[in-house]
Amino acid sequence: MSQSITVNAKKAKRNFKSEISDQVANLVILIFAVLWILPIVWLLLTSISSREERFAIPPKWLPSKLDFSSYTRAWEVFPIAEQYLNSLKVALISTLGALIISSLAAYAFARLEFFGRDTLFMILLAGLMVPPQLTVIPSFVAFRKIGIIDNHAALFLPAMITPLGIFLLRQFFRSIPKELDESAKIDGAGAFRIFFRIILPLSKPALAALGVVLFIASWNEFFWPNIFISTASKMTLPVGIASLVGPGGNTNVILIFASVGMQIVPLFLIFLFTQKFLIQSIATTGIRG
Amino acid sequence: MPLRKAKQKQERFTPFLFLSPAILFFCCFILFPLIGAFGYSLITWDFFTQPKFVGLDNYGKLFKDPIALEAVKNTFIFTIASIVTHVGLGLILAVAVNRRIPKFFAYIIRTVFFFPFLLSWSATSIIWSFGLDPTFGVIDFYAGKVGFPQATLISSTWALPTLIMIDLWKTLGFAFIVILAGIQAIPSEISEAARVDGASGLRLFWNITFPLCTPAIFFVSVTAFIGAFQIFEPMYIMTRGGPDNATLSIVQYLHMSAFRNFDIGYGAVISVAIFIVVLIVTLTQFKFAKRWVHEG
Repeated sequence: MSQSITVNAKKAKRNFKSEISDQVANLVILIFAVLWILPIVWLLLTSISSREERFAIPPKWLPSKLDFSSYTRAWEVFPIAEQYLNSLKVALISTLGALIISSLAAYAFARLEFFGRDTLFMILLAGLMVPPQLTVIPSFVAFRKIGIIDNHAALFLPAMITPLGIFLLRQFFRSIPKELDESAKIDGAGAFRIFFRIILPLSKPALAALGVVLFIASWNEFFWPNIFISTASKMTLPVGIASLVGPGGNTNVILIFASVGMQIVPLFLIFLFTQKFLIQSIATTGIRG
Repeated sequence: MPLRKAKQKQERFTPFLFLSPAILFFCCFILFPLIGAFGYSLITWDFFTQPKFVGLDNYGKLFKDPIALEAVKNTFIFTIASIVTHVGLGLILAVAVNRRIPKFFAYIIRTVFFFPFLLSWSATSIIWSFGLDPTFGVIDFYAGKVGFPQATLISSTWALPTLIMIDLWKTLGFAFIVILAGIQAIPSEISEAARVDGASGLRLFWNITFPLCTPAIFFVSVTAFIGAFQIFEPMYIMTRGGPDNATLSIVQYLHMSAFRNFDIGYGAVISVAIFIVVLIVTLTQFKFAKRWVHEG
């Protein structure tokens, strides 16, 4: 009896101890989290502060009155609207093209039988290991020859082939029960019919996950469009905004704050509503962008 | 009978229809440029004048180039630091979130640490280069208050560590969610059984959690390697590789050689070198990943 009491007391003590260490850990993480997000908060608050308070020393965190003039000015001075549309256009076309091309190929690799199938698959998959840094110089020379430098086609055409996309969709297609297409085959359906009527509708989650990841990658891409696009009105957002800083850039800092704010705020709102789906897509596809 | 034969013929043709777009794009944007890059590495050319075949001269130049050596050194430091910090902090965060904590708290953590991953490198670079600005940057101001080095982006000692920190800030979210997914995939019976046997805290972590999520950790290490090895944007936007080449990365040197100095052959040599490293790392990943899958 007394023994069990001491055991219980020990247990309670341990529980209490772990409770405290849990709370401490939570506090540490919370402080860490606040520090983590602070640079973004500072940028946004500064962008809506009045001229006097903006860069006060010591920093004044909460503006006493809101001033959105930097946003309206930035919107007038920089081609932000155009660059938003450019980014949207390039990301949409890249993503759709990549989804179509990858799913067609993935279906052939997952379901059809033909000579050299596995070899061809391995060759395409090996394309995964070819970084854009290797293809950029020959592509630049070739694109110049056919006249698509400073043209959005130079951005979305190369983005349409994604070996990883083909690989992931093939995996997913193979997880769809074969009986489904066998019975359709008996009903006289051909490969295209099975692909469009059975495989694609059943693969919506995989296509959505891959699609959103490819979209984000294209939306944030910098290396490639920075080389291929030189006219400001044709630039995508990341290139446009980077061209504002550094040598030859704009010196009106607050307008740059506002332009970055115009990128962050919509993105954050979208993220709040789609967080779970976005995180899951990135975790399952494993694409780091 | 002829009808059946026609159908068979059509069927033999079907795979080609499905595959032709992928093959076409693969050839145009991966295979031919790949061959081209090796070809260009054997010539000197500036986009305008007549190209000249020089054999392996460009490769020889690479090995004797002190700036290339600097870029390799910087990229190497950046890469090692990137892997260590991403895996370490990602693991800590994932373990921290995997406890019994309030749902709302978990939501906040996920949001805060993951959001920077969705930002473009441009937005990230601007936020940080302004935050670290010696005249008006808020981070620089508080760094001074607590005795940390200031004006770090223009210091040849601190610029590279600063960029390492900014990279961690931006991409930690990816390491975090991948490792978290790995931990959550551990069957709860295993950790429950260990708990019943009296394991808790660090012991539970080292004996159960860590070994069972090694595939996730390995994956994060490989992606961190490839991402860090190809790092370009933060140097290009924030420091332009300076001061004194202290933050020059390999990819940035490639960009400089080919698209600023118009030394196409030399740029191609650097790109071939990058390709070979990525190739080796990815092949290693495939090999190990296969073994892990088999072992369950």
